[in-house]
Amino acid sequence: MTVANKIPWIEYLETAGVTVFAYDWDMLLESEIEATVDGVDVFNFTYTDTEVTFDVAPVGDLVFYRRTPVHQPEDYAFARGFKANKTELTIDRAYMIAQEIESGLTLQSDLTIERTIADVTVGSTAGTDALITLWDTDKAGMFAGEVTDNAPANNSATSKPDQYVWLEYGDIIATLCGSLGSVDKGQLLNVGAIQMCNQNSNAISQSSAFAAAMPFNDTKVVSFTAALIRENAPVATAYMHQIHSDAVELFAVYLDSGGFIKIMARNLADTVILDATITNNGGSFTNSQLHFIAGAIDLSGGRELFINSVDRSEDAAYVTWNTYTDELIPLEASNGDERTYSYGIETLTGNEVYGSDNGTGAVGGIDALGYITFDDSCSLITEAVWDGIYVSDPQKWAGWYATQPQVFFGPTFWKNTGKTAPSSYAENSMELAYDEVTSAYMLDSSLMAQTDDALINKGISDG
Amino acid sequence: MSRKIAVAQGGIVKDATTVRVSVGGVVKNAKRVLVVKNGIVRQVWPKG
Repeated sequence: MTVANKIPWIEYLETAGVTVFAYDWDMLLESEIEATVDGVDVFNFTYTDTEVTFDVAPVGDLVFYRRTPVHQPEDYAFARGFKANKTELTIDRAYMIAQEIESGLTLQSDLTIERTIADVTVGSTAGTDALITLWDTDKAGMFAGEVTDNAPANNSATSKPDQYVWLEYGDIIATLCGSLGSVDKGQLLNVGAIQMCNQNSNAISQSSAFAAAMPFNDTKVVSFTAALIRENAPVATAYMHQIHSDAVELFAVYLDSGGFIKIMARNLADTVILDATITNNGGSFTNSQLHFIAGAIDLSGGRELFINSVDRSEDAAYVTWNTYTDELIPLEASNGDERTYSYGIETLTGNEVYGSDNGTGAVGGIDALGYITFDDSCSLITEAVWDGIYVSDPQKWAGWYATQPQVFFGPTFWKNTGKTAPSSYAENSMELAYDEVTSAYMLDSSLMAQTDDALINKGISDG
Repeated sequence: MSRKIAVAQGGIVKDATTVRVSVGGVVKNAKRVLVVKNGIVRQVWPKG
């Protein structure tokens, strides 16, 4: 067929008493005639190839026109012939559709949507339906999920479809993990060694729980370090028990007078402490009371880490780790080549750079080591690392603490699996570090609540 | 830790260190992100 050059649209103004109307455009088998009277669709007619016949003569402004379906009735197949009649029909259809567009007709291809939790089906009246599935890590797709403050537990079963996502928001317990989470928790490599002394001796000898060197080859390291320190007979509130890094440190963790854990950016090299409360409100220890100090410090660059519980007027505890993150860390007590770490209680001479660290009560001693860290959900957990007579049975802590001062501490070395430290820390910008830390630090109350549970779980309490 | 959450930055895929969500028009810090895999809820961020 050759399509005549016609506009397939006719208007009869103010018609009346006529039932048959002629037209002269071409029609495909699938083409249809549609009509309106005064703009209202009417259907009481039939048509042939040349004329439209109404059952009842329309009265008013009559318009009728041709509509050709917009779809491709048959796909061309690869390596199959182009049949002349099919090709011609397709061209005719396209030409006729173009004529209808020129006549003012709006093309129609109705779409419908059917939604489920796992996919969306886009139905088409003019072709094959489209199925949009969920997004996954390899392919784009539809998102299905929810923002909630109560997401299901990790590893729990669910009836939700694969790739369904929960975005859980809430208190940033994860932030100590998370802020440090910028660095990464990584893989626990090892924990600190065990030290002990007793009430009659403020000295503690260096020793080691691990004889073998541990591989520690990554260049960036985060350490979660924790201590439980008891000071004998404190007489003032100006105590300072804290964990901090060395003179190029970026922040310190301490216990305030309310028993809450604080994290402070500070710069010992300049004796600049960004928050005066760190000196005024050091942990106020009560006799026979255990306290908790936790630290999390970027150890990249071979920075030293110190835990201090200090009585400057008397013999004092002074615990130091020197960590060098780009080499093996022999977990030996010996510190001869600076690539080891040492620990122990030493007598301070009064001229250390850690001048802000002071307490008036004697430090009772260090009885055992363990570590406090965070699980995958950033819940606080504690572990004792001494497999001796005390810690192997956590319940024995209970009667033990009451008669002897003790410190429960230990570094946990986390092997970084390729992450880097936050650049703001590396820039040695105290202000920036402070902002980051204070905006990201763990909620005190939440942490303390977890601490209680953790201690109870280990049979430790302040009685 | 291998984080499954990553963002493209200048054509380079980087690990996300912070995830935030919008709740009623207020941006909040995300606490966890979990995705269903084979019928089991898997926490993908943060992940130790």
